[in-house]
Amino acid sequence: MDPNFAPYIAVAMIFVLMALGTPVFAALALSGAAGIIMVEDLHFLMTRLKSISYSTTAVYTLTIIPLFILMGSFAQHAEVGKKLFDVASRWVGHLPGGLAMASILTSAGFAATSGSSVATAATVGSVAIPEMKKAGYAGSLSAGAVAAGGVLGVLIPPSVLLIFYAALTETSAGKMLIAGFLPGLLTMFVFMVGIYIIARRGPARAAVSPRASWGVAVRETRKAWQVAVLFLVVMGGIYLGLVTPTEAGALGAFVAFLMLLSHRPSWPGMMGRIVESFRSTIDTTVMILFTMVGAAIFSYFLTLIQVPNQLAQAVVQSGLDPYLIVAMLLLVLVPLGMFLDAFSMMAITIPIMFPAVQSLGFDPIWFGILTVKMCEIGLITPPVGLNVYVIAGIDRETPLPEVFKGAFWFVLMEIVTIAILFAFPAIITWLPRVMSS
Amino acid sequence: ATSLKFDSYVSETAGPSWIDRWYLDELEKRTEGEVNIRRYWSGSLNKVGEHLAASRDGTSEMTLISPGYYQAELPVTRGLEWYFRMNRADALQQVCRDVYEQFDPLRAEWEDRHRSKVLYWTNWNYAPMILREPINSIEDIKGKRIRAYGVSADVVEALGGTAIPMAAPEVYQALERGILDGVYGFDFVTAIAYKLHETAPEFYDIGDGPHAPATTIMNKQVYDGLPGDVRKVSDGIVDEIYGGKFSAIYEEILAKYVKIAEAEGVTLHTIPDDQKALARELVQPAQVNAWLDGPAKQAGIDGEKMQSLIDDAIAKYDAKATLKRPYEISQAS
Amino acid sequence: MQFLNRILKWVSDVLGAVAMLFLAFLMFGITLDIITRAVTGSPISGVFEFTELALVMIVFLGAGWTQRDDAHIRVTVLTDKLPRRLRSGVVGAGWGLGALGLLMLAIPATNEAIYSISILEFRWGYIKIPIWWTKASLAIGLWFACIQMAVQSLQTLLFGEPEQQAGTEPGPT
Ligand code: NA
Ligand code: NA
Repeated sequence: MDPNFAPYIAVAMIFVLMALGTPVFAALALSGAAGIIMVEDLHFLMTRLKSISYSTTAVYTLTIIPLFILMGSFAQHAEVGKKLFDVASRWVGHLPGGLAMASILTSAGFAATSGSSVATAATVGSVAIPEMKKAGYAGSLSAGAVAAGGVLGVLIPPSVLLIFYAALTETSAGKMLIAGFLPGLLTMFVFMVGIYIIARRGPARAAVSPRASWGVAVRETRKAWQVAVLFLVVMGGIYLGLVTPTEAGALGAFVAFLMLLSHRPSWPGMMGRIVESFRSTIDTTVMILFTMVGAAIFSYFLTLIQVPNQLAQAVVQSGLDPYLIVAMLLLVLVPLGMFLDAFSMMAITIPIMFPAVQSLGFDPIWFGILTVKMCEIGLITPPVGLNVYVIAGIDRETPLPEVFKGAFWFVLMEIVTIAILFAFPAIITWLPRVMSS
Repeated sequence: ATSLKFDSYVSETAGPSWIDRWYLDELEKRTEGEVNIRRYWSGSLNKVGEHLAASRDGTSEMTLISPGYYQAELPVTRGLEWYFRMNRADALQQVCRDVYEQFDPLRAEWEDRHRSKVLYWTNWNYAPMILREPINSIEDIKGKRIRAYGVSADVVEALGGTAIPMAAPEVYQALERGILDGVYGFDFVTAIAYKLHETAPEFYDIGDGPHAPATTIMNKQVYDGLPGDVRKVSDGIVDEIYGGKFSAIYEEILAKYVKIAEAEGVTLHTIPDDQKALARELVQPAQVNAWLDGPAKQAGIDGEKMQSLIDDAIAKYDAKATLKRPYEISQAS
Repeated sequence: MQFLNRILKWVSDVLGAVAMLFLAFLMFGITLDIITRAVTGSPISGVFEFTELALVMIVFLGAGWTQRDDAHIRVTVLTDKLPRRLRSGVVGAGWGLGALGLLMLAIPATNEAIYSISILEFRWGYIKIPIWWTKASLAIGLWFACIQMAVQSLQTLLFGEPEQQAGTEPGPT
């Protein structure tokens, strides 16, 4: 078998298997496995797979996923999420797409506490989607908004990905973190404008609730004190240096659990609610991590045959105009992001791209933020888009392709954002410069 | 032509990678195209903890192993892991080689149990105690929360600190937010690369000596199957590594990173000799005895014999070794 | 078939209940660890190391529930458009491929579990913590998930897709 054909066959297989209704994790695992067999053999595959299920799931930082989903689930049963959205809808519900905008704002707020996109999408998704549905939003818009809002998680500090880039390139981690802040706000702003445009064009997509008076809005806000408590516990805990983000997930879930216990209307059938929260959290966690195992097998295959390296290498050696090289390097990350997770992408491509970018005289922090933005896009593009899977797991009524369709609008908005950041590097470099002097 | 995969859980600029890259480059160069090596850094192919099996089972031909990740699988090799017994990293490399040659159970652990040939021993040179706030004595470590694992956690606890286990990606932000007061068991080069000093700039040489042996191995069947001339080239490169290349490479790297560190605000400290002696008494021989009574006994090996071979080798190499510690380099410049 | 389904449900409930205990541990255990650390200055030994093992247990023992609640993500837009007969065939084949994927993971995971038990594998963080039992549970979970999905495939091929199965059991909302 000519190994050059293997990636094409494997990629085609993903789409065929998915179309047949094969669970996504299996579609990825089988396609990756077929690729590995094509370039090695069955024995090699079975040897490699011995530890992959364990090594993909026994990861401390992933425990943040069930914890924040559990928090969201308890909060929802305690009607905390409903209150949050009552507040949001009083303030912005009269705008086209107001609730979707509110969920972007919530994502940004949450991103300031969590360094993980998946956790951000899972938490905001489990609270916001049911409320948006009740308000009559189309599934694609509501699901797309929270899937995309999740990507703010790795951009607005804290962020594991920004630190990883800093370590790979030996640039200042502190500056990288600060540098993510303004681009995070810009992304948030572009998303909200984008939602406004989408919502105005299709009224059914974004029902509008009547405008509330200021008095009502303020009164509703006071009722949502529990939301404030939850945010204080999670955000305050991290910022005061009491807990790590993962620990904050546990603490947040625990506090939401107490809120559920003290929510009088929920007392009848309380045990059922608790078990249901646990069970639905387990369902979603299993789905996400199985998908990650499948993606790990596929990613192993692409890494093994060095597809990412070859693409990056080709651009670096192309001898194009410097700005064009950087643009091409970033574009290479789009197809890679369709299949690989952000960490693998960075680990493989940055050592090849970074020396070239640096020798061309570009700012490492500017390039770092642009790279992280490109990796973010991978979280919402098919066929492997983890944020989209998380949201589709939470919102079971909206079919997967619909969620991807909704997320695609946000991919376009991301490209707009990246173009702005590319053209105006100061948005990225200004804050770290000011803060360090 | 022979195509090999080299698979490492660390990045290509991490401590041990400098010697690995030199070996790989030389092997390709000196075999003139007969050997071609695909390199996978930062755990991009196999994840941390999977590399020993990958070499054993032959899904990767060559890999870097830090025994700390394979405690259950490398009980004998763990006998090489301790602090406060010697001074020089280049001597530790020689010590590991000597003991490997002289102590059969150690060699059997690699060659029979894990079906891998040790190409060369290496180590993580030096690991300072990295703190947010300066200290005046060992006493001041009491109560400090310091991220550490395995044998380095032993040391932190013995010195009165609280060892806190924490996933590597969370370390920087934990220091920044004050969840941690310090970090121990991160080698100097990696600590600088991770910019831990941005929030913890006080680096202490506490007299603990070189840090963490590691080894670069090749699947044994693959090694035995290499053409004779290739094996000879490889053995020649390895001889050069032991013959001074290791020190030469790390002298340069450490000098470079000391410069970066000082330019970026790191203060390299040491502690007085009596404090070093005090620290040593708190850690040794308890740490080695714990290995003798635990893993060595369970593995059914003569641990005393292995440790006495280590003592002999230390006596033989440590005094004439040359690789300076970061603190010494900073003093000399 | 009814009998088989009852057994599968029973096993998935038992495994799921264990997964639930581990999830509860994550929430309560880590919270207690934070409180202990705040009060005494020292963490509770082992909570950190145990955390990632708990995640493994949740994922592989919880897989039975995920299947019963039809929570595995998949694309049904195309198959939904097919005529009923054909749809049963295609969807059944889809589940069969899912089972094949699980089999492909379960066999090597079993080899790994056997090796892990043979060396009583442990991990060394702040304390020494055995991990062989999680690798064994992982393999068991994968085999059960595989059998469950294979049965689902057969049932779909023979009797067609169950109507609105997702609505009959509690699923994520
Ligand atoms: Na964040
Ligand atoms: Na993607």
